[in-house]
Amino acid sequence: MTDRDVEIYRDGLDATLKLAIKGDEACFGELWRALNPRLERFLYAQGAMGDPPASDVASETWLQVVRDLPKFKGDYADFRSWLYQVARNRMIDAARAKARRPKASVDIDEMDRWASLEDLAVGVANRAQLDGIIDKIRDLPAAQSEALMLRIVADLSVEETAKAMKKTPNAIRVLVHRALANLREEIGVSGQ
Amino acid sequence: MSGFWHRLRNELALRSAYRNVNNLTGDDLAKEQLLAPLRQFAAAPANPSAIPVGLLQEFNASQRRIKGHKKFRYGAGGLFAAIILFPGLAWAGVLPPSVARVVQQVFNVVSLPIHIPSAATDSAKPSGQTPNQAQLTSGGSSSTPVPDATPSEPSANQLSSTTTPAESTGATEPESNTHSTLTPTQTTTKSGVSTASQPSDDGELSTSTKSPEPMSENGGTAASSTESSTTSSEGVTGSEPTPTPTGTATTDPSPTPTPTDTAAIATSESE
Repeated sequence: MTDRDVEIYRDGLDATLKLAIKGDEACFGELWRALNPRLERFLYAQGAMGDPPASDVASETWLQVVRDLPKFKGDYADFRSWLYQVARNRMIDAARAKARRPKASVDIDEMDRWASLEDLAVGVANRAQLDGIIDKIRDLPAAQSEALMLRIVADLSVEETAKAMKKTPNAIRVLVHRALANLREEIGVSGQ
Repeated sequence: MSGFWHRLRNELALRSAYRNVNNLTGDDLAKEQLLAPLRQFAAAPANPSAIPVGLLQEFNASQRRIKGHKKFRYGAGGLFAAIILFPGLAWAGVLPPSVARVVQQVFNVVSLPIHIPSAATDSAKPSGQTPNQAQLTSGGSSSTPVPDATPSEPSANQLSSTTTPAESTGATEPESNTHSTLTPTQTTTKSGVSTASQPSDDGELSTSTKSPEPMSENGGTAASSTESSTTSSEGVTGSEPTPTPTGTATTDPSPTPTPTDTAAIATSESE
């Protein structure tokens, strides 16, 4: 897929977004199908093996987006930034709710998490390697881990990541740079 | 002091990182082999799935809510304009009188107790006068066509007790004592005050001043005298009572007796 193809694709989604804001149900469905898979993978990678399941947080995210969609102003890139910003907030709310009402780990929850991983990790050849990478990314500082996930998993640009995290683009570049450095150091240390 | 050195070290590290920022491009990130499994995981094709029904229902409900809010907002705005804005503008005299009249009529129809001052609804016209009085004041007399506008020669015993409306002045003209010919008159001044001259029993005229009042062609004025010559609003011709030498009192229907009346009287007397 060339850059021109990506540009045409994004222009089409711009028009789809405008119609969805006006109330077109079919266009909103198209947006959901385009964005939901990566959103769920991002949430899974962020909270991987954790509570609550990524699909629950994703559902909460989309509900919030639907309620505030008529007030949204911007293009498709702004919409993606906004979507992940809402997702981050919902993740924080879920973590706080879990801290207030801790519940014992149950096998059923573990089965749910693995089931969601099965759904999401289609096509990954080495699941163990994936799990290892995700674990190491989660061990990084929160801001670095989040910036890296948004850049790699959510496929956001530096500017879109900056809007989602409410930081400057240079700050995002620094966070990703440090995250990669720390990852190399961790893997290098663990590899020894 | 240790805090100072700590902050300085962090600041220097940050500046160093910023110098390397330009080296960290999207291509570098894409080439990073450490993240290949993660990249593969992110790009894997998703299982085709339909949008949840509950989410679609929430989407439609949200759109309906927004449309309802817009209707409420426009309705409230329209109500505000109708009840507060337009009457306020009419009260201040900003709206044209025709629009103010329409606003008042609408309020009357819907039984709203809002009254717009008449100054805002009335068209421009001389104040304090009826149309008839306005004519008298201005000197126009449309109700009394005068066949012969030129005054006839008055007899020695007569003075034209009236003047043509165009000649009316502010002063009351004295009239001679001619019981058969004296005509209770009313002269109106330019200020609109009419002066009635009434012949008394001994022939002297007494004048009384009264304010202008509506007068009709056929009705007598309040100052109708007991002696008057007969005149008619249509002039000499027409159905009118025959003037009598004895000076039978008849009411003078004409608000503006004309000189031809006196001429007719003089003619009849000479006959």
